[in-house]
Amino acid sequence: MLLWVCPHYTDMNRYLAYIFFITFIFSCGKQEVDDLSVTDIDTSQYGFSIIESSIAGDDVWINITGDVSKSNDFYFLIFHPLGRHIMDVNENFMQIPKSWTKRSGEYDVEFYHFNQLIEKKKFQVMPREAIGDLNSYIGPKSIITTINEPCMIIGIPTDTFNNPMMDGTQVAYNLQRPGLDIQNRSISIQKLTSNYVFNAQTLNGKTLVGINCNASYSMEKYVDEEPGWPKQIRISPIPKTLKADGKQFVTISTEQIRDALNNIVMDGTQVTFFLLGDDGSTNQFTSLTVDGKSKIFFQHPRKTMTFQVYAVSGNIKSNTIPLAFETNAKEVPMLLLEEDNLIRIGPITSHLQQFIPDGSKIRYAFYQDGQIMREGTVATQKGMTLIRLEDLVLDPGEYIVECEYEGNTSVMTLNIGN
Amino acid sequence: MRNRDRILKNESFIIVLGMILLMLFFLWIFSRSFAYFNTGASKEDILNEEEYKAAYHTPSFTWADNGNEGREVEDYLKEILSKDYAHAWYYWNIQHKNGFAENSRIFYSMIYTDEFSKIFSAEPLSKKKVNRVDLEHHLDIHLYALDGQVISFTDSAAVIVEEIMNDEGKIIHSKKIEMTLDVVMVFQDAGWTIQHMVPRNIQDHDFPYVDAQIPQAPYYKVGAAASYQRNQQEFRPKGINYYPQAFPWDIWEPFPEDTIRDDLRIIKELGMNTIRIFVGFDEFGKGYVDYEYLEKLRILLDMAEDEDIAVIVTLFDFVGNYELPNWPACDRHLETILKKFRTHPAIFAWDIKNEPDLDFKHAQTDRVINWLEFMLAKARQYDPNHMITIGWSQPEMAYLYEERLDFVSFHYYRKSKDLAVAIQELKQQTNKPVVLGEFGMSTYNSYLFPFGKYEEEQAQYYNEILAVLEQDEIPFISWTLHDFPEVPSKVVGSLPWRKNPQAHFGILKQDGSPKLVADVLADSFDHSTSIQISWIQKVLRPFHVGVLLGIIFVIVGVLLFWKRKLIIQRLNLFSSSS
Repeated sequence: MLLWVCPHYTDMNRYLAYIFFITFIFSCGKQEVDDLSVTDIDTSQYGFSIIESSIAGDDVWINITGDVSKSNDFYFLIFHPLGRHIMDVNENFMQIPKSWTKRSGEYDVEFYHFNQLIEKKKFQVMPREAIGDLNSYIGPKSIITTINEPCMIIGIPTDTFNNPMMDGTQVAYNLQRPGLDIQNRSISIQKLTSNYVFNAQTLNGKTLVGINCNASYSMEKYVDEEPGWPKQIRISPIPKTLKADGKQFVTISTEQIRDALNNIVMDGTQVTFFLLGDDGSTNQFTSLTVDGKSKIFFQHPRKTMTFQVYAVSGNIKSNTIPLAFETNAKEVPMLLLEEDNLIRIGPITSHLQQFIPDGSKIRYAFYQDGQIMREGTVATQKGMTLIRLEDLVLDPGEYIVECEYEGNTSVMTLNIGN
Repeated sequence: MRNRDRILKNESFIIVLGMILLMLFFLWIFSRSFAYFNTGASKEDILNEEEYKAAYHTPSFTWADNGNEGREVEDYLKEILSKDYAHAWYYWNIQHKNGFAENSRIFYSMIYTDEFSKIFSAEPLSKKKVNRVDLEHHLDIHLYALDGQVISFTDSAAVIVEEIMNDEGKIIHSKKIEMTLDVVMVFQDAGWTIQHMVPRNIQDHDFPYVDAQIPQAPYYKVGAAASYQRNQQEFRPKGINYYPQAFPWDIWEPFPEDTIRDDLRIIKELGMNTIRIFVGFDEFGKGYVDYEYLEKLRILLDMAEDEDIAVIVTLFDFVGNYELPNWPACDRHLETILKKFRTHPAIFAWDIKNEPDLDFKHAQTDRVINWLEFMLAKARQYDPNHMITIGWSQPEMAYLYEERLDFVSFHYYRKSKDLAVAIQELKQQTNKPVVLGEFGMSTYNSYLFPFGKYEEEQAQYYNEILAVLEQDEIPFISWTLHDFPEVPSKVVGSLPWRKNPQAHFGILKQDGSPKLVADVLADSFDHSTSIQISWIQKVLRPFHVGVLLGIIFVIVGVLLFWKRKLIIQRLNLFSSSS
């Protein structure tokens, strides 16, 4: 251990001095200075006055009476709108930094020597004239005509240092309402703000708003005066005979939707169409209005059925119209080809005498004594399809064969011998 | 030659001394490093420090109900607005101290953020510094925009406390400032941002915080001739500081309700009528007091009421941070608890802080005193019904604020013979009734502990103390009911010679049987009789026996080593002959 501390005995004194130095440093505590007693200075000889212009951003000077060079312990505690700061006194004529005095509000100045208060004063800094941008807020940004919805415009004019104006300052509000002349209002500021409230009128459109106060102007703002909710919805009739071919689309549309004041409802008003099928199915489609109309496209079903159609927007429900889809195929011919041990189904044609679409599914079933013995589906090609009896491996006997396509059914009797 | 020998001898002495100092230094470095690496990260380190502290910045808010222009003000708005407004103040406050606050831009417009940045980071015009905190806001909303984007309100009589410190960090001014602010805030980026803020009616007062009047408490109160009354009947507290045996200093999280009920019965059987309990500041949730803990406190108070036992509730246990940013959370803690229990009949008094004078050195006396002044004023405001005291650790400090307390309370663990003088000196400085809030003696007596005491000595100490108290008609709360199996390290550290004595101050042993002192505490005990301790007990303390055995062991060892050749020779002879 000793060798590690003092590798060379001749260095010993140096190491020891180092150790004692460290020990000394660690053992030394900071001596507390408790005595803040006032010196011999007679503080009654001292005071100050404030040379102020009362306008934000102007110079504010403090003139101190008494010889401040006698002590280094004079200071000011200044409470200003941006916080508290302390300023040591080193001359009789001192300026309060401009970065503090450009804020309007009340200033509290206390003059101390050590911790003894010599004098205390207050002064008020006023905002400069309103100039530049005027802070304005409008809300809601759109109002509904049918409910006479109100809109509030708030104007907060400020000076170059962003100080709000004093209470009582007049702020001019200029409004251009849809279909009306420009309206002017003068509102006085209270608690830093001014505001004007107007309600939506019967005509829809944009209301333009401008606010100004002296040389301070707001950016142009506008409010959309929007029509209200739909008053009535009607679905346009669908005259065509519709086929259940599963390929085409049917368009269902509303008539132009209007609000209680006969304004066309806003573009984008949501309309939901409901299609209730006679097989218990429910289809729901949502669409938005354009120029008051809303429409949906609905694919033809592949089987004959009838829907009851109605539309809903908000709490308004339209009339209900029926929508029927007839069968696409006239008949499903079926033929037994005994030599080939096949049953041919087709050709199946639709109402325009064309083959039904390739891949149309045809369901078949083989019954014996009322029991299903075999069943399945086959797809058509060029309106026809084949059922290979060998593949079905049927026992000898008599069978009823049934084929069905989109609700059209054909039946035949089939005898399979030994 | 002789001279050289002398020099070498001196140098050897210096080397040895230096070695010892160096080893102590390394030991200190090692212990500090070990402590550092075993402390773990604090919440401030884990979370963003500013964000964590801002969350605990909870000044009080009141709302004027005058109506306002525009939209109706919802309760939810009040909640959000007060939170964001308090945050804005928090960052404004810390800019006074630090010169910057990174997150201030969230709560102020760009113009304000830039101005704050310029004026607080500029070269200061004085070496003196400002710390401040906002404590109260009284908002009167004038305008709330129809779309909820703009709000204008007046913050009437907002209360700020400031500490002005000299260049050595010593407080030279403590100020309470009241002012009115007209404020405009705008909702943007999912929060309220201050756009304009104009102060007026600035009222600047030096401390004390407020000159609170002492009301007449309807429950327990000070009667004539420095006595106490309850329901017009004279009441003399005779009590004990209480923790359940299994959970000393950590009663609220486990809260063994049945054990506490049993203990209260035992306390009653011991002839006592008062307990003193402790409510931890951190434990109860700081500024956000946990309802579950409040309910536990209510259960305890109800149980005490059932047993006809008065309760002194000591607040702010383990609070050592008296700095201004901690004041709002302390205020909310105080407000929540005192308002909740201000009509509870079991409470004898609120003890605002346990032994705050112990913090004078590390936390600066002025700062602790300012904190106490504030808490005293607020406690009176929140609960005008119950008495208030402070549990000073020394009788010499107990006169502080005596004019604002209902009774003076101090703790005493010194020699019993000096108590009478201490009380007389205290009584010369106050006319208020005095309560001895803590006293006691540990019966920890170990072979390794030189200051161990017997149960007889504890009984003798109690007897002497009680004799003095009886003579001066001073009520007492002794320390404590149980001997504890374990004392948490947060109380006295982890060193065994500090923890073990702390665990043996009880009137009851760990097995629940009473110590001799229980007889002394009985009303019928005559304190003029002295309790004798035999001289054998005095001389043959376990530690003395331990030392004696150690000395004998060392002597025998040295003798064996010294005579090892002779012993080996004898043993060889013995083995060869046999």
